[in-house]
Amino acid sequence: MKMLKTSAAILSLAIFAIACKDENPIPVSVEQKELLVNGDPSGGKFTFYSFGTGGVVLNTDSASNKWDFGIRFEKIIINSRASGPGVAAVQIADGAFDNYGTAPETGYAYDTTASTLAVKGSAWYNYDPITRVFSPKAGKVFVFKTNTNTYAKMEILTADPTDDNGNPVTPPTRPTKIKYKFRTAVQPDGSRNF
Amino acid sequence: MNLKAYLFIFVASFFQQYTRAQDSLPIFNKEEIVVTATRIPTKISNIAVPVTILSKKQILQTGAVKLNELLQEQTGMFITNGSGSRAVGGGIFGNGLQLQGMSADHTLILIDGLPVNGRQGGVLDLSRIAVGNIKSIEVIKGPYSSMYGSDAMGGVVNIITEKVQHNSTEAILRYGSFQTIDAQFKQLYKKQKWENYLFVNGFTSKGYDLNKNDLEKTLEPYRNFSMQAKSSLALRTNAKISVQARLFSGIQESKYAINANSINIAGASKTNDFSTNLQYEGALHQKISTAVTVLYNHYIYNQFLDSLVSQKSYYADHFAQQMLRIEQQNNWQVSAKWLSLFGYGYTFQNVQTERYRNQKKQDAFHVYSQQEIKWNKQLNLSAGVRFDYNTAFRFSINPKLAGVYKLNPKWRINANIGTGFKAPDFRQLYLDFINYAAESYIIYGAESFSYADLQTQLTSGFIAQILPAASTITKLQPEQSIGYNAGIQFIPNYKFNIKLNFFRNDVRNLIQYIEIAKRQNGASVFSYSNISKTYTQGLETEFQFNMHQRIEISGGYQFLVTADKEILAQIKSGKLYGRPGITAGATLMTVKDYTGLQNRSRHHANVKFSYIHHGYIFSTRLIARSKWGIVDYDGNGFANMPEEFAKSYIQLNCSMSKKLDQHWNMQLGVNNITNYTDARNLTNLPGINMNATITYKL
Repeated sequence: MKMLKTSAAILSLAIFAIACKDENPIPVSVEQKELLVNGDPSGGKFTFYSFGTGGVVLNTDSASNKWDFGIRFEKIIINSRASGPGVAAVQIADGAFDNYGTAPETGYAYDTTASTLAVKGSAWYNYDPITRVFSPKAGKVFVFKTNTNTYAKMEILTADPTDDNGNPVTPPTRPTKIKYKFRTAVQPDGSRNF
Repeated sequence: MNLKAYLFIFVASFFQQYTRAQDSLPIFNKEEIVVTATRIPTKISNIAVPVTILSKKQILQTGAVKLNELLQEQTGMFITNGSGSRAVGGGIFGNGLQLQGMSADHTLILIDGLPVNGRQGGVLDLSRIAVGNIKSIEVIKGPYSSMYGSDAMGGVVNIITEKVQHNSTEAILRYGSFQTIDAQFKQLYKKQKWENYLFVNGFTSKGYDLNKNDLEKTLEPYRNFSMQAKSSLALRTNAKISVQARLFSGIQESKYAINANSINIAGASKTNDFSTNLQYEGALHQKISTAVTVLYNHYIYNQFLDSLVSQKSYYADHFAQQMLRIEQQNNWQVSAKWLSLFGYGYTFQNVQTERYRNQKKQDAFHVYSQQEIKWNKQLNLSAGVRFDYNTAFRFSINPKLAGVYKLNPKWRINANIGTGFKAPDFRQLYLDFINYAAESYIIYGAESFSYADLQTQLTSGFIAQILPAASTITKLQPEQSIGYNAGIQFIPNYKFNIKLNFFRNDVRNLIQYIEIAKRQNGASVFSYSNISKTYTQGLETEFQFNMHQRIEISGGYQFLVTADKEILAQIKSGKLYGRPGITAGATLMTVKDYTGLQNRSRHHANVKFSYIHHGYIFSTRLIARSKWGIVDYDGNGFANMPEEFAKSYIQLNCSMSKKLDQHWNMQLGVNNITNYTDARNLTNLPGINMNATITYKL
């Protein structure tokens, strides 16, 4: 039933996208999001995010194509191949998020195997092992091909170590969660224009 | 013309600090003797390397009891921030000293010409050094490895302890805010050719709290004990044998609420530092004298934290370092105009800690020579070179050339060029450490690292991925710098003097940790590599004005520009982005946005004012520091958004002392009168605090 609904949604989106194809691109709206994710580097649950709904996907749907990417600690997985049944792909481009106008046609990476993931940690952050602070590098734009056949861009702003309630913690207190703030923009018409 | 000069002085004095000769005589008092430039007592007028001297009188006026409190009021001297109780497993390493914008691990600290050991994370904690037994402090800014070897990159601070001139006994008691008690006792005893000196200092403080919103104090209670004993015997004319012992023993308490709503982890770190040296000074010949020194140092640092809930150990760290140095310097007065110095030495060091696989040893040899030439009445020249061989990094050769030219009695100009180096330290070479307290990241020193081991770990599944950087790990080279200094001094009359110095330091082969592999759990594996190139440059000015018999004003200002050359190159090629605010979108960075290395202030100034009246001495010191980068939230390697800076601030300290009679003296001090605090970035600056001191001298 759920599957049917999703398919219907995708279908209608696709029709919408086709319908709009020759029009001027819809100006995409930039949204700022916040996720409090599992801060255990060694294991446990990922937090899944969907560009389609602009929100978190329940862990019970981990084996579906409802989510586009998942985060645990600093590890980002995307819903394709080794990580999920979806077709999501991503690449990290250099540039200012706001001025990043067109998604590339090619060059997207998939989670090929469990140890060869599309997103390599050191590509988007610096980590200070002494203060345990992640510094997302400015000027790194995540460009996604989503499971709903749209293009999305994302900029990670902060990744702060926190306790279970999202309050910042400093050493020697061990963080149990990482609070992410990021900005997204999704082009619903299926084009590569942002 | 005169008006212009005074106008310039007035403007400069608005910022400022000072350099003064002892006992308030102008800087170039011919009788002034310095030792740091040549390692033997030499008239300041005969040396070419500029030396700044802090006299006993100046030290007493500040009312400081520890070296960090004293030096933070001086021109161009930044005390890096750290507080002992916050450091778990290392990270924030006490109060170090930056000179000419060079980091604290590039400053060499000497006591009576001999190195002080026990650096944590490269930084020597100056709050370990009591000032009560100090006669003067000589500071040479810029590299001086040609004389002193490793670590003398940003400069050399030589603490000269008191000499025995006559029998005396002195006791000092101070009580201050935060239940701080400092007690000192000094005994000087001289009998014919035999001189004895004893200094004992006990210190205890309850610490302070700048942030009431957390459960921990900013600085937990700490206490320490220092002792210095020395004895010397004049053997015959021009020959002396002396023996000295120094001891520091300190405890810093720690308390933490770790993942809890109350203090659940408590413990302490204990530092024990013992040094002893034996020295023979004598004449080998009418024109040749020699000094032989044997130095032994043992430094032990222990940290333990226990869980108050389970009573089990939460964290324990042990570090012990021993050093033995034998050195000889020969001084040959070739002619009235030429002094030739030649020295050599051997150093043995070993370090033991759980973080290394086993005990690590290093042997080092050095040979140096320096020529001091009085070319004519106007020109003094100095040329020196030192060769250091160390089993850990092979060798380093460091030259220095300096000159001072007296245009006329009022003007003199000086210039020098020299190199400095810092040997890779033990942790950078030998660390083999898994930090279970923090995501189980691993750090291997460059010597402990093995690519083959990493491949074995990959096969066994201990690590998940070897990064390309792993193949770049090779034998570490020393960090190296070239320093250029050029200065001018103007001494129009005995009441006033001013000096201006331009400096530039080019540093290469800076050692940094880099990520070399990833573990299965996502944690990183790090090692060390010679990576960065930086520079620091700027100008420094100091003046002193004895306005009136009773009134004296002095001050100083440092303008500093620093850069990481790689970051600068990336900005210039349009590849580096930054966020203007924590949650703002990234924009392309320009050279204008670049603020240089972290923890450096562009402007640093101080003004000191003292007034003497009817046995009272009033002293006011103002220190101002502009903002400095502290964190990097956007991963571009420098501070650009407002949240990444510590705010500029002004600190005002005052003291008043009164000589009651020939035995008694009292002093009252109020520090940080404006009550400026910054709980995040200035944990070593408590709010307004007061102290009262009483001195008895027999």
